[in-house]
Amino acid sequence: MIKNKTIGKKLSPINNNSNGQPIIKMTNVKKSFGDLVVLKDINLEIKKGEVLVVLGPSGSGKSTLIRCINRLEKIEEGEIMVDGMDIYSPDMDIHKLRTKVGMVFQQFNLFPHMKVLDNIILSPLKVKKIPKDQAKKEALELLKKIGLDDKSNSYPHELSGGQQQRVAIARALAMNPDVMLFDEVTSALDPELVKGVLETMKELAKMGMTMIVVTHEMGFAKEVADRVIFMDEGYIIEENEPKEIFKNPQNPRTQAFISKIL
Amino acid sequence: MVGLGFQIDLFVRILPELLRGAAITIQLTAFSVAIGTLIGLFMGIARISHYKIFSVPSALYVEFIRGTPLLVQIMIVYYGLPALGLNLDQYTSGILALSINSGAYIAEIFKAGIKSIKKGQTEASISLGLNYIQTMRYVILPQATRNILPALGNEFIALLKDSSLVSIIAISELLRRGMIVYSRTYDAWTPLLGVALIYLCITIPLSRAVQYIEKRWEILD
Amino acid sequence: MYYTFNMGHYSDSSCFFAIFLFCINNLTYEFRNIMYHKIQIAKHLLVIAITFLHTSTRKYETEVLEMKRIGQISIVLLLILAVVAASGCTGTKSKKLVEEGYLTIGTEAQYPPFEIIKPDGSFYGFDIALGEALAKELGLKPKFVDTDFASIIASLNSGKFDVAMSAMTITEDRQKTVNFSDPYFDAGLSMAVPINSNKQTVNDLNGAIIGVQLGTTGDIYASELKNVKEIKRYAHTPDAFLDMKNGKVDAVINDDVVNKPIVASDPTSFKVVSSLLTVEQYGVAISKENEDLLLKINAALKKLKENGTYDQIYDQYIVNWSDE
Repeated sequence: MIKNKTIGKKLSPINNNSNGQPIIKMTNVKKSFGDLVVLKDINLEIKKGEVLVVLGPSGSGKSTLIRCINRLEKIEEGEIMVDGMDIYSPDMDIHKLRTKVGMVFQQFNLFPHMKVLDNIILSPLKVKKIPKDQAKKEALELLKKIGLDDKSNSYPHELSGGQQQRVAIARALAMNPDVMLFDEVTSALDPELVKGVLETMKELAKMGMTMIVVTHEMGFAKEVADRVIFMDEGYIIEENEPKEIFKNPQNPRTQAFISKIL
Repeated sequence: MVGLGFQIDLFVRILPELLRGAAITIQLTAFSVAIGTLIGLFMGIARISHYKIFSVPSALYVEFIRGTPLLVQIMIVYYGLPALGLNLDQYTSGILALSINSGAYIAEIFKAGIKSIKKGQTEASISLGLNYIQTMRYVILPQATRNILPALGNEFIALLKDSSLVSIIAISELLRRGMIVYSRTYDAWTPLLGVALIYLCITIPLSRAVQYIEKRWEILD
Repeated sequence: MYYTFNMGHYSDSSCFFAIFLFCINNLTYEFRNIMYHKIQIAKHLLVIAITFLHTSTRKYETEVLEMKRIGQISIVLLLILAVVAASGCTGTKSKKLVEEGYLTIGTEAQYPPFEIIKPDGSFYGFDIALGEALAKELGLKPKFVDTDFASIIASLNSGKFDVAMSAMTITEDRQKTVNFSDPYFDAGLSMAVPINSNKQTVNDLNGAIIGVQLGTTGDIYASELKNVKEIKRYAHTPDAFLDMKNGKVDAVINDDVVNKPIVASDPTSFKVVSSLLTVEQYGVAISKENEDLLLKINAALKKLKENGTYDQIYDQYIVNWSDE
């Protein structure tokens, strides 16, 4: 198992709006499910404004990795710092943490008993205690940006899969997070709907959002990612700029994986 | 007309008495289901809690209630509790026993209803920053209601019938009134059949109503 | 999956609880009993406790402090439980009345002419009338509680009622666990049989099935008969008669003064034979810890016998019994 760390090679993000401080820092992170060790020793730094794509075969731990960042999964060893704070420290307010880190799921997970607008304003209303009119206004603006403002009074089951996923993105964005996590968000969509969602994500990246994206969409990775990491069996095997990783994968495992998909 | 020994004229005479008993039965059941729902809500949520201090006592409570006959529970509350210094009159004992009993079954209803909601709903809710109680209140329970409400309706109907057991501690509910009638008239067939008919008149409309609600919600799926 | 259990909304939950207790309190007038005071105490303590916890722990939302909070809540709840239980221990075995202002009388109300329940739900009978008169003498209002005969003494002793008036025969055995007032009625057992039966005396009962009421002197008498096939013990006397009507029982042994009205209400089915197998006297049963009440009841009984009220009641309910 050769870890190919890019020691000494500082990657600078495409977007220059960062102050150089890593917004997420994972050190020696280890996570198991019972006897199965899923993350074996993760060290990762993500800068503000960076778009990171996580590649790897199933079972490599990609989803688990990002689910650890908002404490959806609990780690056994190691440290995770978000915006300079240890997320497991006793003074960390976990609900505040989750308002800073937004997440979008493969299965969308919209609340089916609420209209689209209510889905989006629920958390701002209850967690941030924003007054209802203001929350509604901001939600409608968000929907407008993704082109779905005419659906604000519809129920999730009345929307197509792609529309639902874009609403899910808007719902997460309504909390004004610093980081957005995307867990294979297009894998459950029909092919013709995938593009719409990816467009939305590209817009988001252009606006300077820090994004960690687990995906199989290589086109997206090539176009939008600042950095790509390849994971296998719980380790980060290789990390590099997308150009390099796709053209010149260094590690034989990476090479095997890339050759299989491209 | 005497059909199969059933004396209609007697039945009509005792009907007011039996209906008074039916009113008590409905009253008992309504209060017990209301209190039982409160108990069941908390116990149901406690059952699926990650804190042992909640999940273990609630599991024990449900095991005990479901594993012992309701009749025994009623008698324990009325005759047994005085030994602990808790001396309750008949109606309070009846409602207490029925509430605690239905609370256990309703806890299971809530637990099943809550568990039937996909895990992703909870994950989405908490990754938006909502805490456990908010998640329950705004996301999980509203959805679980679709399963829970019909089940609650059926529990009400079941408890209505089970409430006949409190006749053992001489509460003048429907069955007891029937027993008092035949202790006067020495004809048990008419009053008992009459009691059964009155129970039917209450349970049949109720179960139709529950079925109707279930169907309506299925259409919305 | 990771949850934190936030108990921040104490004011909501304490409102809930207060409403819940309030409902138990005030459902109908029948609910006002000794529980009232205990519920009040518990209510106040609970509201205080919840307010205290709410204000002191509002800031803390992490797991470590949540466990402390859970510990606090458990201690408070245990304290409340202890207070409620303790107040119960001092409350029920004393000589206090079950309910202030009332003489609570336990009776098994399927026993004409002593106690029955009329169609409108009210109690009616000799014991009822006598009980009302006694209560009046004591300056109390009468309140009747229907109960099983088999458990009537246990219920009396555990404080469900102040006295038991249920055509109870004074026996040595019973006097071991309760006190009886002076006798207020002379009675005795007899046998009732189906109208076409050829049984005349207890000697004809070889191989017969006998019906009795559980726990009565009829039960005790029948249990000592030899050569009977089976003794069926019923919770209520009319049930025994009903079974006899249906041919499941050959004879019923019970108080003569009760057999007569029952037979009279269905004279084509039953008849009374072999009267007065025993000589018995009824008394009012009172808990041994209530000697005060015993004296008062005896005094009242004496007065009622002297001023003619007793004879009046006897006339109305025994001589001229009608359950219409």
